[in-house]
Amino acid sequence: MANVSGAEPPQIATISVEGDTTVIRVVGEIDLASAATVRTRVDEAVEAGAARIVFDLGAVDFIDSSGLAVLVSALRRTGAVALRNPAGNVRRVVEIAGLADDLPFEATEA
Amino acid sequence: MVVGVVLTAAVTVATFAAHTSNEQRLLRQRTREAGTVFTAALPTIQTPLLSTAEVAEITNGDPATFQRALASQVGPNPGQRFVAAALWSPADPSRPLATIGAPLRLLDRPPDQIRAFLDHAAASTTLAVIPLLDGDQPRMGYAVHAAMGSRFLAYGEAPLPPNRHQLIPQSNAFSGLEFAVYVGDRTDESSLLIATVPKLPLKGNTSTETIPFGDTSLRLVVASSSELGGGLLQALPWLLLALGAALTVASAAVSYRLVRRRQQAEGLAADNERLYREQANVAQTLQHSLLPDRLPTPPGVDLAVRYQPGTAALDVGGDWYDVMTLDDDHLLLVVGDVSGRGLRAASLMASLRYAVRAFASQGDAPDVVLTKLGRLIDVERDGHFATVLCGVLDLATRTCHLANAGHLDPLLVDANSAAYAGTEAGPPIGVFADPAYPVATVELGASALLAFTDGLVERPGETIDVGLDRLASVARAAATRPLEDLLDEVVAGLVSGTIDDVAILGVRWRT
Repeated sequence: MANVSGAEPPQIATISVEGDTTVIRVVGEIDLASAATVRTRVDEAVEAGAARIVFDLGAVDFIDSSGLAVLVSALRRTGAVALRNPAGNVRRVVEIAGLADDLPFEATEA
Repeated sequence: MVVGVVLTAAVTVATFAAHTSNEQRLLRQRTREAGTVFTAALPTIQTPLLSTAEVAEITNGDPATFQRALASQVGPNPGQRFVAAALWSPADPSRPLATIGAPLRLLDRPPDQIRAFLDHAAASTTLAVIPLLDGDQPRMGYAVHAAMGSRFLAYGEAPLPPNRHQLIPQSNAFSGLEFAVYVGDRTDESSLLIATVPKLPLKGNTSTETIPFGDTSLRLVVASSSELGGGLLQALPWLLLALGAALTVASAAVSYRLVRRRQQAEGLAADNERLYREQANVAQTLQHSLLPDRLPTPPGVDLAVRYQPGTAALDVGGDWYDVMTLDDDHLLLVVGDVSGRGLRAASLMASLRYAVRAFASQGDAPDVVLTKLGRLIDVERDGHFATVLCGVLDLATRTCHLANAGHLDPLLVDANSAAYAGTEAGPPIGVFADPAYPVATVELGASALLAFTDGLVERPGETIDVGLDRLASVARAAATRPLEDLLDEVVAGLVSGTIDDVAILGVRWRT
């Protein structure tokens, strides 16, 4: 019972810039516990003037509605968001939410 | 998260002195949290009135429409927010245009006071509050208009406990904790809403919190003369009840049970572990208070619902279900889920739930309801969005018209087959302005329709399709059972160990 603070493994979300695109790479799960970390990276990207945000989700194995809320708020703030290399179940969650047209998937070797 | 911090402190510090200091900190924290609860409770009063005022504006103040819109909210039963309500025109404060429920206490006031209150409410940008505390049936009155310049005010009176003192049974459990709630700036008898002691002011260490409440404020004073600041959590259902805000007999029972179960703390760690459990209980109590406490009983149709808090239910969630009779031939069915958790998510959920009712009772089709809901929530502003499945069941033809905002497709199941209904999801509520939604028409026949939230089928480490297949197979295996049993089987087969909350709504014709 001592572990009630949602002590998941530390969430890693890193930012890099590729031309006019800001890439936010996330590792692990994007859920209620970790969504705030990803949101902080989005805030930083928007403040830095990002015109387009790509979420690199190649190492993300789970996303819930709190995570989706972060992705769509990034879309609202920049106007252009894409999801890079989403796993099958992440893809399904986006499709079920009726957001596949708004959060397009892209595949990259990088 | 607060509890997590406290627990961390609990295992690292173990002296009595630290315990005392921790208790004082807990007292301050609990007082602040109680303030947040009051703020979150406000929409449960405001939203039904606001929706009713909007409907009045559209229907030119039609009395029958007003009475129908508020009928489920007004009455003496637990869970009904008001004992009396009225529709007023600020232009004619001499008498209400329509009333429902018990006689209005406001009408006992002198005409100039009534006029002043209605004028004030018409000019106010927030919920106008009038304490009606004199006499042996104290109430709080609330008035709201749809927009500046509106022609109508929706007004409701919520009851307070008849004896505002000593509401909570005196027992060892509360020997260390007392509280009093006042309306406005004054802390005297005439402003008292509720207190746990026969004589005021409170003695001992006190913590005071002023909470904005509509156009006035509440002052919450909590006193702790010894340990066990967690007692306030047990008292929260009573505090809410005192404000006429959304509590049911069930939650009062929870409160009594907690009181009985409570023991003197044997040590700091044990005490804090108990606080953790209580926090989870308060979250569940709040959640239940925001869901319908009974369902309509249309002839020939079975309806069943389940709500299961997840294992991580420290905080109140945003899942909901709703069923409402629209007319003799039509039933509104809703399942929704506000993303995230916490009081903000729960109060958004309450707003959306009442707004769906208001729009649907105006006659809006499911797709129109969903489009209009988008005006109430914005992911950029609120940090939350909502997925909603909204259906209107036609009782004459056994068809259901469904519109889907980012929500999971409902399951149609009978003994021979289980298939998802094939609704096409548009974007969740609050993502884009004025989205359009397709409407799917589903023939129920002899099948059960099961609508649910994602907690039922989502598990870390597997794709959602695995969960959807599991649901289909469990439901089909139980499809010949009565609907209540079918939902029990679904809960037993899928809910065990789920992290997120789950809401399920089932409907099926009896023959």
